[in-house]
Formats: sequence, structure tokens, C-alpha cells
Amino acid sequence: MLSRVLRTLVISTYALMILAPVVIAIDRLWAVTGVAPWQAFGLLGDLAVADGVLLFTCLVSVTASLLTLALGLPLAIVLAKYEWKNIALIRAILVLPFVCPAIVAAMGFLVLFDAGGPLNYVGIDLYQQSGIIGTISATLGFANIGHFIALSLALCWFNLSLVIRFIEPTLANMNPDWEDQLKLLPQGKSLWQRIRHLYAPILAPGIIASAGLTFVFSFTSFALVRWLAPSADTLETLMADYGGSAGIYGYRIMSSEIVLASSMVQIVILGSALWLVSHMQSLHQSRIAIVAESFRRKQQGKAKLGHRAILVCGVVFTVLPLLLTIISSFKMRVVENGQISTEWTTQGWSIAWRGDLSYAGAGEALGYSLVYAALTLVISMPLGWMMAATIHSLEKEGKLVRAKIVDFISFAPLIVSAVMAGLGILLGIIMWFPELFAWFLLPVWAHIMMVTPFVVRVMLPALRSMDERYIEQAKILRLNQFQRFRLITLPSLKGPVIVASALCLAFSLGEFGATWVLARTGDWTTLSVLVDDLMSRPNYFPGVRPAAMASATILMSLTLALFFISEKFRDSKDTGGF
Amino acid sequence: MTLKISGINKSFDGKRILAGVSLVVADGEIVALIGASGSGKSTLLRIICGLESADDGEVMLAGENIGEIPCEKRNIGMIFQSPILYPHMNVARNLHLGIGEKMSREEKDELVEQILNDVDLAEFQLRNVDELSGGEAQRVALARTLLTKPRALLMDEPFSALDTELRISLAEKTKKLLSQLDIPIIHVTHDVDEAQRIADRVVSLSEINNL
Repeated sequence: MLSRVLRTLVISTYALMILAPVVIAIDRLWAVTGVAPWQAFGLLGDLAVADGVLLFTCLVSVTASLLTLALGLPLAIVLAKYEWKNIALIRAILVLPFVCPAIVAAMGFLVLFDAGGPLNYVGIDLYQQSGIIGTISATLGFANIGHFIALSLALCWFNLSLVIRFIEPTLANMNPDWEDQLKLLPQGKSLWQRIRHLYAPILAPGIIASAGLTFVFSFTSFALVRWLAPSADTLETLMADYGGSAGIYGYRIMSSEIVLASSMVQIVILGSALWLVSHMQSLHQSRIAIVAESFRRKQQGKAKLGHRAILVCGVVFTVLPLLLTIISSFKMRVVENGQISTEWTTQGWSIAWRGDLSYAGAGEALGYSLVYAALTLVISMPLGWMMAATIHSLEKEGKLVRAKIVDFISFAPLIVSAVMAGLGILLGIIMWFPELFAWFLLPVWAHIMMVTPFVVRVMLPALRSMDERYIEQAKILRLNQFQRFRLITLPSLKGPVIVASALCLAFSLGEFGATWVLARTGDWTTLSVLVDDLMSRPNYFPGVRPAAMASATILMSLTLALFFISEKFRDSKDTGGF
Repeated sequence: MTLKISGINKSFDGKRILAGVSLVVADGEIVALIGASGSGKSTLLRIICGLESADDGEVMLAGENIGEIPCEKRNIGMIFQSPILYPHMNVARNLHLGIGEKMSREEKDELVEQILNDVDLAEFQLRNVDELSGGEAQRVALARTLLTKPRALLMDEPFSALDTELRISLAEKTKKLLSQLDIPIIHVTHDVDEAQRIADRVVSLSEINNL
């Protein structure tokens, strides 16, 4: 149990490191624009550049959430109900997109949708929006519907794991006797009745929580919007575009107004969504009845052809963009006698590694990425763990309202989004200490802001499920606090600690939004910024794309390796969502 | 080293569980504390060993008021209803926890070997704890508690999860082991036969709890 002093210290440190930059930034924007934050909401409607941005952001986030449920639920159900060989591997493949860096996903989907890509080959042109997509666009009067579909699909791909992680273990662990008993009762004769009386009440909180999180992550998506829907802006891309000139007295006040209004709207919408998610997660935890997972699977027997087809489609959908990224890194455009063809080559890798087309080579960017990730781990892991321990400690003392508030504070960085985190540091700190702008470790701060909430989310359920009697017994055996931590707590939480550490490293390696805001003009390019930098170069040089894809492949390999390490240590009944 | 508790009060969420509970247990004496489920027997033990704090009252050991001393510094042994063995450690490593860290590895191993002999588990040193039966696990927990050389011992229905035959045989073995200790011992049970078999004196909680 953490002492009151330690708890206060933990919450203060978290608030100072994670929330203070954003609060200071908003205060500065207030001073520059003369508009109070609570009055800033109306600004969004008055600014011509922001016209329709909020509507598009909400529309694409809701569509992505519904699409993710539509594709994720059948996958979660077949995975939970039937026996599968190598289930751990299948589950790992299906949930892998969540740790995949957004910029890598953007590259994968770009290849999938672009000219010469598989979808284009079968006549679906989402990028140029010709053919059937163009017809749909004209019929509905929805300009750039191809980009909208592409973005929604990519967001769905990214968040599919949330639905699977929430629903599959719950369903697999549900006591089969419940359904059998219901079949014998008048109110449970039909499947619909059983869904209404049994499955819906148990699964609804998990479904709503996963849809809510999908909405949040879609709302704050940056790399995917930047590359897959170049015709449109979301609040996140709008803030990124105008953030560079915001917060300066007497200079382009509109930029400050855009950032202030966007951030306030984002905070309110995402705050409400995450409050709902937090509430639903608590309900979800309370609805799970634990029975042996294998018991349920044996009851249902082997999967039929239709079930296999669903799973195969899910696996192909998950793996395809990643495979295409790797393949594209070895393909280069060749123009000979006015004819365009492609050749297989490793030149893209050489170009990327040497940095022929960018300010930094992939090796150098990899070095910065690893340093940032390591430092992020060193700070985020203990901070997140202590924050989780604080929440758990308050819960154990019965101070549930306080625990809920601290839990919500731990979610805060997700409310402000990656770009806002970067801007928070840029505007909030650097405006006061400009010399920090040249400090190469600056992006680490933003990484800590973005990564620590995930550490809290992994460690909190682990702490809640740890057998309290182990610690009581250790006290009786006269082990002091340090011995109890070293000999009992740490080994008991080995799995979650490894999962949280691996996620911490993976998310930091793949972090794009905040790093793009802070590091794109500096000399410390990370791999994710390098990919974006390469793809932003004029495409007339054929090495641009393979070099970007090669850099993306390096980044993907690192994060996926970390992901598979974390999966090895994950409890199969983990329903935490991450 | 007499254990003396006096005037212990404890409430949870406004509901009084213990009211003015007093009890004296002399050195070398085994007191069986019997009572119905939910009557507060375990709560009383948790207060004595420091896992819970009393709302009122005193816990004295050898004339010293230990009520304010943290659990880990009281040196009171406790055996729970289900044995708490750490699954990430084998039997020997679990037993090492009862010895402390200052001793050399050889000395620790010697003590472990000796105590395992005493509880008839001589060959179990390297076993994983999940390979132990309920009775074996409870004996390892007892051995570990004895290694701590406690100033008092509390046993919270340690045999209740075992079948009758095993419960009787283990109670007799335990009685033999405990009779060599010159410390106050409280054995909580709801089984009157077991209480009479193991204890020097049987006390009903309802008689000392002034609810």
C-alpha cells in the first residue's frame, strides 16, 4: 500500500510531466489570442480553413468504429468459440496492427490502394478515385469518398485488435453452463433470446469500450490521415499544420486561434469518450466469469469452413499491408524508352541506409529512435507503474471516487493526442526556454507523455489481480518493503512488466505525431519521421518510395519483434484491451 | 512471552465485528479459538499479527504493547487457511524466505533440510509448489513459519481444506511439533474435535466477544 505522501508525489510528478506542458500551452494561446479556452469552441465555425473539419473528423471516427466492430466481432467470436491450432500465434497476428507504427501502416495501405496496388488491379481505385469509386462519389455527391474509405479501412485495421482483445477472452472464458441453463428456460429458447438475456449484457460493456477507444484513436490519428486522405483535414492534422506558427504574440493570430479551438474541442470530445470507456471498462471487468478457457473451446469443437474463412480473411487483411510494405522496399520504378516498369533491387535499402535522399540515413535515425525508446522506458515504466499502484491503493482503501479521478488523469494524454502533446512542449516549454529547442532529448518528453498511459493500463489490471495474500504472508515472514518488492512483487508481475516494457519501447519507436512536431526541423530524425520525410520528397526520383518502404520495414521489424516478445508473456485471459 | 489482548474493538463499514475482546495465552500454551463462520476469528488473528489495526484495545506480547508496531516487525507467525506458497519459487526457496538474508547459503540449506525432516518432507526441497498436495503444502507453510522463530504463532483454520483422515493425522503431527515450542499459540477452527485434539484450552469467541 502506498503512503499518502508517496501517492501525492506520484500524482504531482505525473501531472507535472504529462499535463503541465499542455496546460501552459493553452494558457499561452489564451494570452496570444485573447480568447478564453471556454470561449474558443465557437472559433472553429468562424475560421474558413477549419470549415467541415470537425464534421469530417467525427464522421471518419464513427465510421471507423462501426467498421471495426463489424469486422472485429465475427473474428473475436470464431476465435473464442472454436478450437484452433496455434491459437496464440493466430491471436498475435490479428492483434499485431495495434503496435505497428502508424506511419508503417500508412505506407502499407498506400501501396495497397495506390496505382499498381492489388486493389487498383481489381478496379478499385481509392486513391485517384476513378472507375466505380468515382461513380459512387458522383452519385452520392461525396467528394473524395475514396480517401474516406481508404482512411476508414486503415483505421479499422489499426484498431481491430481492441475488439478482439476485449471480446475474445470474455467469450472464451464464459461459463458454458450459463447458455445451457438458459436453453432450458422459457426466456432462452431462441438464439435471439439468448443474445438478449446472456451475451448482450455480458459483452456490451466490452463492445462499447472497444468502440469508444477506436473512436478516440481514430479521432487523433495523424500519420494515416496525412498519407491516406491528403484531400481532407482532421483536427489533428489541422493543429499540426498551423502549430508551427502558433503561440507567437502579434504573428499569424489565426494559427493560434485554430490550435486553441481545435485542442479545446478535442479535449471535450475525447474526454467524454474516454470517461465512457473508463466506465465501460470497469463494468466489463465485473462481467467476466472465469472458467478454464480450454473448457469452452472443447465444448464447441472444431471450426467449420465458414468459420475458417472468416479467420483467414482476418489474417490476410492484417498481414497484407505489412507484406506489401516489405515487398515495395525491393521494387523500384524504371523508365526505359518512355516505358515504365519495375525491377527487383536492394537499392532502396542502400539509399535509405546512406541517407542519399534525406537529411539522415536510416542507421542514424535508428540510433535516435533506440535512444529515445530506451529513455522513455526508463522514465515511463516506473512512473506508469507507480501511477497504477496509486490507483490500486486508493481502490483498496475504498476511496473509489478518488481512484476514478486519478484513473481518468492517467488517461489524459490520450485526450490531448500526440500532436497536441508535441505542441504542448513546443508552445508551453520552449517559448519560455528557447534554448531547449536545440536539445536532442526533447522528443523523449513527448514520448513519455504518449506512452505512460499504456503502462498504467497494463499494470493496473495486473496489480488488481495479484493475490494480496502473497504480500501479507511476506510481511509475516518479516520481509522488508524492498525485499517484498524484489522477491515477491517483481517476480509475480514479471509477465505484465515485460508486456508493458515491450509496448513502451514499441510505441516510442513508432511514435510519429509528437516527434513530427518537435523533431522534423531538428537534426535528430527518428525512423518514423524519416519515412515521412522520404515520402514527402518529389517522386520523380525512383528511389524515394523503396527507400521510405525500407525505412518503414526496419521500424516495423523492431516493433513487431517487441510485440511478439510481449505476447509470449501475456496472460491468455488478459482482457485489458492493450 | 505471554500474549495478552484486551478490549479489542473492530468494525467494518459501520458493522461491529469485535467488541471488547480479551484473551490471555501463556508461553507454551495452545489455545483453540472456536466460533461460527463470519464471527470475527480471522479478523482477531489479523489484528494480533498486525495485518489489520484494531479500532480500540491493546495487543501485548511479553509485556510490550505491539499494537503500533508494523506487521513485518512484530515477529508473529501466522498460517493461513490455504497455504500461501509463492509459485515462482520451489519449496527450498519458499523456506529460505523464513530464514532471512544474512545467513550463508550453506547454513540456510542445512536449516531447510532439518525442518523438512521434521515435517516429513525430506525429499521435497526442489519440488515446485504446484506439485504439492494440500497437506504437503500446508506442512511446508508450517515449516516456513517455524523457521522464522516466531514469538507467537497464529493458525487460521490451517486444516479445514483437507479431508478428515489427513486432517486428523496432520493435527497430531502439528501438535507434536508445537509442543516443543515455548511460545503462545492460537489455533482457530470451527471443528470442536480438532480443537480438543490439538489445544490445551478451548475458547469460544462468542464467550469473549461482547457484541
